[in-house]
Amino acid sequence: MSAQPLLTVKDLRKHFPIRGGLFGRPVGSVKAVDGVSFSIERGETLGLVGESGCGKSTTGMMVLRLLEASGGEIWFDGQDVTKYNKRELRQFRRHAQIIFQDPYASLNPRMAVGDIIAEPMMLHNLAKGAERTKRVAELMQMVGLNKYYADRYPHEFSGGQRQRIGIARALAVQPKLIVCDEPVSALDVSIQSQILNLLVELQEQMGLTYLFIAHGLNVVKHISDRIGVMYLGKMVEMADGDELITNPLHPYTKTLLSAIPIPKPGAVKNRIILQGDVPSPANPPSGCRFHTRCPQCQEVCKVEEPEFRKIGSRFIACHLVE
Amino acid sequence: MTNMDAVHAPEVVGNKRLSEFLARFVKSKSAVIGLILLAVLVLSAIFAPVLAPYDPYDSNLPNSLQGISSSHIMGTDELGRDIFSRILYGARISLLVGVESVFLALLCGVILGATAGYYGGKTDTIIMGFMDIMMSFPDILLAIAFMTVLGRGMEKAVIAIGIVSIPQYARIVRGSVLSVKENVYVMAAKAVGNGDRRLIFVHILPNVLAPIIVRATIGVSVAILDAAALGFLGLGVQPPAAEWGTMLGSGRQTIFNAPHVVTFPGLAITLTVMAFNLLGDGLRDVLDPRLK
Repeated sequence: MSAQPLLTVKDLRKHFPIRGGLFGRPVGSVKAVDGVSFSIERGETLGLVGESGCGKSTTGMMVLRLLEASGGEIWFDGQDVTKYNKRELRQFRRHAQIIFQDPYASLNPRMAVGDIIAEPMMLHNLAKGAERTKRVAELMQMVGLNKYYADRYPHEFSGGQRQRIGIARALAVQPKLIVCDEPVSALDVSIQSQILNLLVELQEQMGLTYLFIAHGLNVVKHISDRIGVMYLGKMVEMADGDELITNPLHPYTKTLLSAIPIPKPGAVKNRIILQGDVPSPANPPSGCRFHTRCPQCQEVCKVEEPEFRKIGSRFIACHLVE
Repeated sequence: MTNMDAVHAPEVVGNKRLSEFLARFVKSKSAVIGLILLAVLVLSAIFAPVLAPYDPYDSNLPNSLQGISSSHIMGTDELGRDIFSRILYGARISLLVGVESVFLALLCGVILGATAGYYGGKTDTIIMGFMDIMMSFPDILLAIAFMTVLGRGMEKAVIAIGIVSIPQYARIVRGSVLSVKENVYVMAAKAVGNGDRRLIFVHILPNVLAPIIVRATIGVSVAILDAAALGFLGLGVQPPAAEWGTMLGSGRQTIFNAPHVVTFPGLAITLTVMAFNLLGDGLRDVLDPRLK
């Protein structure tokens, strides 16, 4: 059993209908996620990167059924999540959790912090009364918060502290999988590393599996075993973290890598700057989706869509890589 | 460490929100004036038997339509009853009718509005379509229609006024739910395993409380006016009960030779409505966190 990956996603799609006309009939669709496949081993961290609007957050939401997929399969622990009924979905929420991007928006302003952390345990009948209170204190200490803050409200905390509360809430049910949806991008750089280190420590302690979503490679490269790069609703390259960083093959991955700031004054950067904007996912380009902005675009790229295929140990979707 | 424990004692923290609310409440002039007026009204309603110099139902025909005097500070009506005593007793009925009908409307309005806003789609279209149909009639006309079906009397008036004002609450709640449900913390609550009902009542509704409270406070004054109008038309509270609208209605015939018979019930209604409006306005300022 343990040989199979914890999470396998096959050809996942999310098409949002565009409604128009007098009666709101669908006149088209935004293909936010258009055929994404990956798998995550137990205890592994898969980083998912791409710029705003490429569908990486949508993918994370669909994995947890917070958004319904338009197509594809999600296998978690040998079961298809997309076919869960209401009761099974509740069970699933015990095993898969999420940490949100904006710590200022993801906590109910009218609930005390202790209640926020206790709620998942209450909903899943995990601990009662004094034991639950004790667990809340444990969780708060585990994420580096003073346990005497349990009666305070979210607005009394800083961004980094709030994100710790969000992490404690996710850990309360002792999940197997946590989707980290850009958990540090709303925080100061100095706080980012603290939260990242906390996530790594917790993973080691509890054997967690992460789907780590971020928009820049600089955050993801520290924490991920493998990294997947998304562009306009599709995965363009996926490889082991170190390999992807040292030897990126897809032109888009190269561009993303060149965008990482070098923390050294006067360092020479060969920054690749893309021309134009991201095309609309409602009307994606023909052939390779990246061809309109690719510095190495060939004729074949405009006509034929490249297959996401395995080359060596990595997966890539590009005509230029053999 | 022991020092820390004392500083972060939970009791100190728990009362912080309440004291913050009180501090802001005291600063709002209209809220304080409204509350004081309301307190006077409620107290005079409760202690009407003690305060009233006469029995409000005791008619004394030789004494009818007397003007203001030291024995009858607001004069007497067409049956010689003391108007001041009747107004004191009338406060009981008016406040009760106002609060009860708003409670009824609030209960139905919150459930309907929250359901429509949360589920959206067809549920929303059907519920809100129905509410729009109700809103397209003038309130008082619709209330009269209900009264003709239900019959006369105070309880019937409460039900009629309550039903008529449901759409207003449903609308406000739906609108607020629509915006609040898009918050990430609602999605977060869903992610930890909350069901629909708990999501609505624990995570969404407490965050739309402010506009509802404000609307309900002002709603009480509207309900009192409606009840008075129904009483005036002879449909609501039946004479001889001392209800302000009914008193206005029966004083109408003598409005030219004894204007005080309609003046004082009218003033009482105005004062009560004003008290609730001031309180509602003040609460709007106090509860809106954007004005902090």
